Parts: sequence; C-alpha cells; structure tokens
Amino acid sequence: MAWTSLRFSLASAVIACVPGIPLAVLIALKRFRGRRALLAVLSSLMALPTVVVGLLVYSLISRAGPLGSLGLLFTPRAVIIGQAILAFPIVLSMTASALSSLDPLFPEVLTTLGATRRRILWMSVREARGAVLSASLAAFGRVVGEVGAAMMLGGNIRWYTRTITTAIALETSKGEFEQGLALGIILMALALGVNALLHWVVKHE
Amino acid sequence: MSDALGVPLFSLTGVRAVFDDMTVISVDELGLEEGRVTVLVGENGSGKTTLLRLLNGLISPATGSIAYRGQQIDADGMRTIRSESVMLHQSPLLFRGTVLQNVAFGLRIRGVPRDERNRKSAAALSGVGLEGVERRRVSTLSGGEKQRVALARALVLAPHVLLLDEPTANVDPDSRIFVEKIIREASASGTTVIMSTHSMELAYRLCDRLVRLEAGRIRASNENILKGMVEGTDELFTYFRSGGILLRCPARKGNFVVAVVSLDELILSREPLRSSARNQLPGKVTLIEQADPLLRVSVDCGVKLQAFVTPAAVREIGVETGRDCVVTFKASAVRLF
Repeated sequence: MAWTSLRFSLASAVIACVPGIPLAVLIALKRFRGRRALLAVLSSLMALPTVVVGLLVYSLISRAGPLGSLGLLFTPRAVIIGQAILAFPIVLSMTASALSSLDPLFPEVLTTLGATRRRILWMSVREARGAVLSASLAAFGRVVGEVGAAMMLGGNIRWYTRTITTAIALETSKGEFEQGLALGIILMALALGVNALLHWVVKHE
Repeated sequence: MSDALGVPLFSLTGVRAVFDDMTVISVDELGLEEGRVTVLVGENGSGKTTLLRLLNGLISPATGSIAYRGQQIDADGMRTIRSESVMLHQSPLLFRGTVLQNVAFGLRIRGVPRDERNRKSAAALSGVGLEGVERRRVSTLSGGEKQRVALARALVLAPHVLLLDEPTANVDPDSRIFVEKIIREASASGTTVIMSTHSMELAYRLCDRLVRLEAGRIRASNENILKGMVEGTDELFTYFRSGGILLRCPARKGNFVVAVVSLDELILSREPLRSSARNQLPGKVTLIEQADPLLRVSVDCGVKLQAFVTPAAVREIGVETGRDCVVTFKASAVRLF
C-alpha cells in the first residue's frame, strides 16, 4: 500500500516534470504577449481541486466516455494520469517563477559563448536546480497526500489501486481511528524520506 | 569613419535599434577595421552596450543592415559571428560551479576533448593572472577575480573578435592594469578588439580608433590622438615622440603612450609665429572638410594633425590643399596618457 502510494506519486510527478520543466524555461526566458496572463492562470491552477480533476478524467475514461474503450478506469494508470494533471501546474508555475529570478543576462552570456537553445535550456535548469527541485517536491507532496483523484479514478481496490490516503479514508469511515492514524504517520514518513533523499542527491551532485 | 586604413570587418548601414519604442542607437554609416582596437566612449545610455550587442548578433536592428566580412548577419552570418566572436558583458556573470567549469564551458560545447580543454583553460587562467584556481567555486571569488575569470572564459576560445563592455568597470586598480595588458596582448596576437569604457585614460591608451557616442549617434572625433612614447624629460618639458614629430609637453613623469590635442587648440599660419606656444610644426595641407559651422583641416606634419578653422580664416590666410603651412599649439594643450 505504501509502495503503491510511492509508485503512483513518483510516476505522476515525473510525468508532470518531463514537459513541465522545459515549458517553464520557455515561459521564463521568452517574452511574448499574454505571458503574464498565462502565469496567472497557471498559478491559480495550482489550487485545482483534486475531486474536480478526478471528475474530469473520470468522465473521459469511464465506459461511456470518449476514451472508455481503453479500459483505464480503476487502474493504476488512471490514478497516475489524474495525479500528473494535478502536479503539472505546480511544476510549471513554481519552476517558471524560480527561473524568472535568474539574471536576465544569463541566456545572453550563454549565447555569446556559443550555446545552442537546447543547451541554454539545460543550463538554466542546472543553474536554478535547487528551485527546480523544490518545484518537483512540491508536486510530489501534492499528489502523495491527495485522496480525491486516487479514490475516484483508482477505486480503492485492495492490492491494486489502494493508496495510503484512500486506505486512511476507508479505515476512518469504518471507525478504525488507530489504523488510520498509523497510516497517516507512515504517509508523513514517506513524504519526509523522499524529500530528504532528493535534497541529499542535489547537494552531493 | 574617414581613417579607414584596414579592411572593414563590420559595416553598418542605416542601423537603428529600438527598445520600448525609443530609439537607443542610430548609425548611418560605420565601418570597423580588422586587427585594430576600437574604443567606444560616451555617457551612460549613449548606446555603447547596444552597439556591442548588435555587433555580436545578440539583438537585431529595427532597420538597416550589419555585415560581418561582407556577409549579412542572418542565420548563416550568425553562425560565423558565433564561431568567431565573443562578447564580455559588463557585470561578470559566472555559472554556478567551479572556475574550470566556467572557463572550459565554450570549449566543452564545441566538443573539445577533456585533456585539451583543461590545458587550454589553465593557460587562459594564467594569462589573466589566476593560476591554480581551477577547482575553486566561483562563489568564493572577489569581484575582480570574477571579471578575470569571465575574461579567461572568452579568451580561451581564441576569438577573432573580442567585444568588451566596460571591462574595467567592476575591477580594482590592480586588475585594471592587468586587463589593459591582456587587451594589448590579445590585440598584438591579431584579435580585433571592440570595447566600451568610461575611462578616457584607458580609451586613449588602448585605442587605434576612438568612436564617440552621444545619445545613440556617432559624433566626429574632435581630438588628435597621437600614439608614441616619451623620449625624455627635463626640468622644463616632457618630450613625446610620435612618428616623425617631437612634441613638447608640460614636464611630467610617467610611462605615457599617447598624446591628445583637441582640434580647437591648433593654430594654422602660413609663416612661423613668434608666440609663447612651444610647439611649431611645419607641414602640408592634405584635406579640407566641412564640419559645420567650421572647417576641419588636415595637415601632414610627419603625422596627420587636424584643426578646426573658421571658413573666414581659411580664406584670409589662404589655406588650400597642397599648400605649406605651420601648425602651432601650446605645450599645455598636450595631454599625455
């Protein structure tokens, strides 16, 4: 169960980071019309209610939905899709704002030394890696603790899609408070452990 | 503009650059020669940095064209610019990490093998007077050291063209002397140097050509800048040799390499004058140009000297191209740097 939680959260956070971080670099370094508006929308999407995402994805992948034929509902994939959608605006918005604080000359200095666009993108992430890491961890923290999407899309199936959070919800509704509390402590230890590990990795890179 | 001795490396025609609907630079015609040191001087906001960025292709002009080696700076021209020139920004921006990572960056992205990279970086660092600092983190460097590391990061690429924006603005006096020496060495090895500075002393000492910018426009030079060396000093004068002429200047000790005389300070006459002015040089008029409302007269006295003269005076004393005349100026009008 703890393993399922960890797997789902890491997978969705990583899936959100893969397009999220490069897109954030583009938003942070480019000047274009509607940039401010886009950043405002993104930061408000950070507060997207988990049940709303659950509902939206549910309506897409349920039997009657447009993607119903894929048979995704109540599978781990469904949960990961939902959680990745939750994580994406967090990664994007937090990374973009961290990169905006880079010296505006940074890309220009790289350019004059002969760097290509791709290199500039990579160097920007490297330069702001602490902040990029924080963004990824915030996204992870958001999904590891959420219950709405996991419950609606995963169905809380034992040994399959039951995560710590859905288990806590179940135990509490059964009146098993001690069980729920114990699971809560495990969840917090898990989140703490992942944070500590990634910070250690970046520090010793 | 008029003294185009070398091959023009950059030619600008009708170039205007605009920021926030404000024209920050407007250059009708400018050629910059290969292998020389061109120094841009002017107030803050006069467009020096913008001109350097235009030359490096970091920004594009709103109108007009810039050619490098006769090639327009488009996608292809940009590749040539990138491979042959480097700009050093005023505030030395170093990447996180070690000094070596910074200096070797340009070589690394050009695919130079590690051994060669490390060797060249070490050489470039010792060239700027920083030996054995490769492993240091850039966060532990002083401002002057940072500027020198940034300089090494540019020099390690052995660029044909070095664009320097205020290279001595953020450094201590010791590093300033060092930076001047480095620019001299780079130029001696054939690098074309185009730099901006606030320090007129540095500008006079280094320049083969001085370009004065005022509110984004190029102003014609109003000074004779004579390269040379001090030949001797007695209790009365310092004697400065430039080409075929010997100038008398107020006695001063120092290792001067340039004498500057304003075009306003020169008096032209047909015969030698009996006056207190201690410099009298016979020569021949080579060129008379309009410089409204005055005329700019060039006289070959062994070196070319220019003087501003009113049209009335030119008529009265009969200054004509090809005629002999005498150029007179006070010793105190000569400034040594």
